[in-house]
Amino acid sequence: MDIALLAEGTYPYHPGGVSVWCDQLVRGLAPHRFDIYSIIGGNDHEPSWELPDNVIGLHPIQLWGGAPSSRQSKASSAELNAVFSQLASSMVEANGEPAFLEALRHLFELSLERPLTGALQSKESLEILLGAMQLAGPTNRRLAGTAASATVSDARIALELIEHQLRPLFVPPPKVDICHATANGLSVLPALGAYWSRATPLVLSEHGIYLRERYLSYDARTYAPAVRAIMLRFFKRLTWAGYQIADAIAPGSEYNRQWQEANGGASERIRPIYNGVDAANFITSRSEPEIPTLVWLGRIDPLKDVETLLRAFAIVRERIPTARLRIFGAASNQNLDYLERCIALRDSLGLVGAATFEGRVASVIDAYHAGHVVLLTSISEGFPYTLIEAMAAGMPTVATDVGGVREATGDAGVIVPPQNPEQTAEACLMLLADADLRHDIGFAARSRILSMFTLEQSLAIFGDLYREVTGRITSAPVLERQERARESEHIDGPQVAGTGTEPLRALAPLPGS
Amino acid sequence: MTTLNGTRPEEAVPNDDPMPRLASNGALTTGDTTGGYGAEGALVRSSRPDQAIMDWVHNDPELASACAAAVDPLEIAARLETYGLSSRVAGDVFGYPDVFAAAQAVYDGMPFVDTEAPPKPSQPMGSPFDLLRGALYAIPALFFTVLVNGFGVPMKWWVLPVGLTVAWGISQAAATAGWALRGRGSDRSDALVSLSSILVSAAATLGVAVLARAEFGGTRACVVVAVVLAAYLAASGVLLFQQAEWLLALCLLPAAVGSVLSLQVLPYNITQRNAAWTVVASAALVLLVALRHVPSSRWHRTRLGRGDWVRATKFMFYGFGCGLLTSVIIGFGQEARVGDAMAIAVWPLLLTLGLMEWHLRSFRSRATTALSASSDLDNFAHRVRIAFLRSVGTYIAGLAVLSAVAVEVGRDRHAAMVPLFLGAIGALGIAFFLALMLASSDQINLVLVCWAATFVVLGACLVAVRVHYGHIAPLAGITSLLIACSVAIVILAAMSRRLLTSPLSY
Repeated sequence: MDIALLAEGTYPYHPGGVSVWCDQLVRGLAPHRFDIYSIIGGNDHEPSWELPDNVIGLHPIQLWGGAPSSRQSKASSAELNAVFSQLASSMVEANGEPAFLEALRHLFELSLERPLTGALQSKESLEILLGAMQLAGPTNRRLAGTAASATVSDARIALELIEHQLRPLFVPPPKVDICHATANGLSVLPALGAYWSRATPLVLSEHGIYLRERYLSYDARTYAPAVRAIMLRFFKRLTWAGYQIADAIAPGSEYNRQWQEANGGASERIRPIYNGVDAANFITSRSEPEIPTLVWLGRIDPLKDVETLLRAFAIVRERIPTARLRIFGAASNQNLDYLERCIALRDSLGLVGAATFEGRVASVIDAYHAGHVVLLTSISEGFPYTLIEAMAAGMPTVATDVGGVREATGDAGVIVPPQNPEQTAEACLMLLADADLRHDIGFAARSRILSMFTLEQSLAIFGDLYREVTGRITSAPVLERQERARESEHIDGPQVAGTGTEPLRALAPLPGS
Repeated sequence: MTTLNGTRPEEAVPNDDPMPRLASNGALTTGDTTGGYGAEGALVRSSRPDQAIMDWVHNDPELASACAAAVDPLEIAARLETYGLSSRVAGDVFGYPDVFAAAQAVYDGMPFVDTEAPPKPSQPMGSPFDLLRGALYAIPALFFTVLVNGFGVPMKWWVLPVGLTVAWGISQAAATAGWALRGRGSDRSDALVSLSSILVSAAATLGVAVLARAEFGGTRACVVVAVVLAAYLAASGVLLFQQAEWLLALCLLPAAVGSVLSLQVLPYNITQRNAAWTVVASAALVLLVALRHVPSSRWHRTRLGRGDWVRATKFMFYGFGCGLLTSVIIGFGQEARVGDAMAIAVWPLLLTLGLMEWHLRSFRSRATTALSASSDLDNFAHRVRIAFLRSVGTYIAGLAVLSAVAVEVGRDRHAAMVPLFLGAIGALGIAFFLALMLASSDQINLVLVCWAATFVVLGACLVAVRVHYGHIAPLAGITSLLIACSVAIVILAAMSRRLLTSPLSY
């Protein structure tokens, strides 16, 4: 089976949890063949992952690079303007989702006739968008008087963003048996083309929730209200479109289901599939470091809230002056400012020497074992690898209650509220003070991973899902496999509410299967 | 259950208090000491859930600010989750079915306040300080004379055009590449850009100068002077790109002092040869300072894409075009042997380089401000037209005043041909200003088209002169340039009128 794996800002160009997941999926599901469509920022990237033999192609899709051609005949410009007008209106009208999807389809069809990359950057498109943005006010009570005052500058910024975000729609659609988008949003655009041109089925995985992360990243300090309003509506409509087209929606955790349903995802098509780890790679450690040490591992990114981590550690240091915090992981170029901010915060908290930024590590298992406790302080997560890997390594964890974290840890980890340094510190102090508790939690954590979240289980479910959406099998094997997992979960003991079993119960035959 | 209980006893509220509280540490607490964050089943629901959640939101100024600035209820839901208000907490603590209902209540209950509005996009206005930048461009022309006279280099006409043209083109390409790298947060590549700009300029000039020497004659010293000139221009371009004007000015201080002392008008004097050495010292300083980041830089590959290279190449040709047009003036001026006329005529242009810089910045600043201040395209176009006329008008007025002064000076010094030279050089200056406006508005393709048209006109004029007279007299050459530059001005002005009023140009 040939599968187009559609990724944005991750595999195979960037590190991170989703990239790890993609790599595991591609390698683990050989002999299926994968055609990788990777949306990247510019045209300056080299793959940072070695691609396995069953990858049959790599298609970087540049959002911001390249030299677009905007030459259009007058006739085609008129047609393009009409379609763009429909797109712009659908973003501001109430219940404009179907019209938005229809406009995307028209744009896709136009792109089959002539190159559209860059063509939307025209004075006419700007005027259309400005008009739509100024109309947005009356449809939204809170924005009355705000979006209505959208300026030419706001429209120009929004047009540039939309034009670039739409570029993945204009790539030649994948010729494969299935499209598998690793996130909603832009990754779905090439799949829409494949769906319209060849009725190619789509599996849509969401580790975090794309729309939620857009809401967090388009913050008020960066964009004017009118720009945020139109862009967030763009993403809301786009993610809605993704949920409508997808044959199966596979969130990384049960928690994320609610966001998908809130934005139009049909409940019967949603089936959480948890990440898994290769337990053989994660052995437990027999020793702990002499100095009380906390470990954090991940991408330095505002969503990971390293600032709360540092503030929590500062509190820990007040009680245990010898304590250390080892931060493993690098920042992407986009987040170098954030890294500098974190370093400045560390310095201002008097933690120089005690809290160390150690960059990327060769061995994550060594990193986890470098401390007594592993922390995760994110404000948004899907089903974080850092957590399940640390658990697989037999480490006690303190993690924030976001996304699927509660489902991952169950009883076998300490959960604290996000953005709460005091409680995070309390949890760390509790664990640092009690070796038996650390041992018990670490043991329970590893047991939980081995029984519920192995790579083998995860891959098998995806393999079945591929066959199911292509009509090569019915949903029965998937149900059966997950039922077995559910039974094993019962053997392991009671779980916290809202974890583990619900994804299995939620399964229903796919439409047409 | 190892889930951390977020409520400390001292923070607990009585069970008869239905109001959820925000603890001092930010945790959500309910009226049950066994409840609070992470508690199972301790449900204390407010009879006034909307007020309760509003109070909770307002307890954290940052959250309240984010919620007030939200443009969609889901945006608030996302924010609430990052503060620990999951659907479970929304139900357990506030009595909502889920986080979305809680977010909707906040959305409906808070007036929109754009408390965190980003600064409006703007560009700094030009200022009289830019006149000093102009001086930095102009002064080396004086130093060049000091250098050549001091060392007694038997100059050939091609030396200045070769060094100037090559360095102009390479510096434009280097600056374009540098901006592209900066745009990607790759400031560390500045060192690589500066090194390559200087080395490529020097090497390319060496090659062209060797060819020119073989074709047109000259000494080895001519080749050396051309290479040094190109390396200096590239290095000073690097410093200007790095916005290190003060460093450049400091580096030029020895040459300035040496040149003044060589004029023999002060009590303390130095010879022209020593003055030439001060120019060499200044050039060496500029080179060293331009390369100051190189030793400490972390080397890595430049991450320029194909589009960046294409763009840099276009700017290189743009720079070559500027250099060649200037070279035509220099070449025919030297051939004309009209005494001080050329030297007098060139100063209005050199002295208005700073004015050009000032009003280019001011125009872009006014245009960017107009973007933020206009709510329709007609209004924007009107504002930009006024800004354009203001900037171009001021520049032309400045050039005209200085040209009038130059005519008077020329008359006093019996320098023939000053008005013709002034006309050609002035037209060149106006064409440069308009081209710079379009190039800085991302219209480099059109500038290249215009440059091509200018060279076609220039070539046609020169061919016509040669066919008619059998040779090209310097004055006919200058006149041809005046015609070509006038054509360029007409084309560029027409393009500017249309393109600069498009919001997409900024």
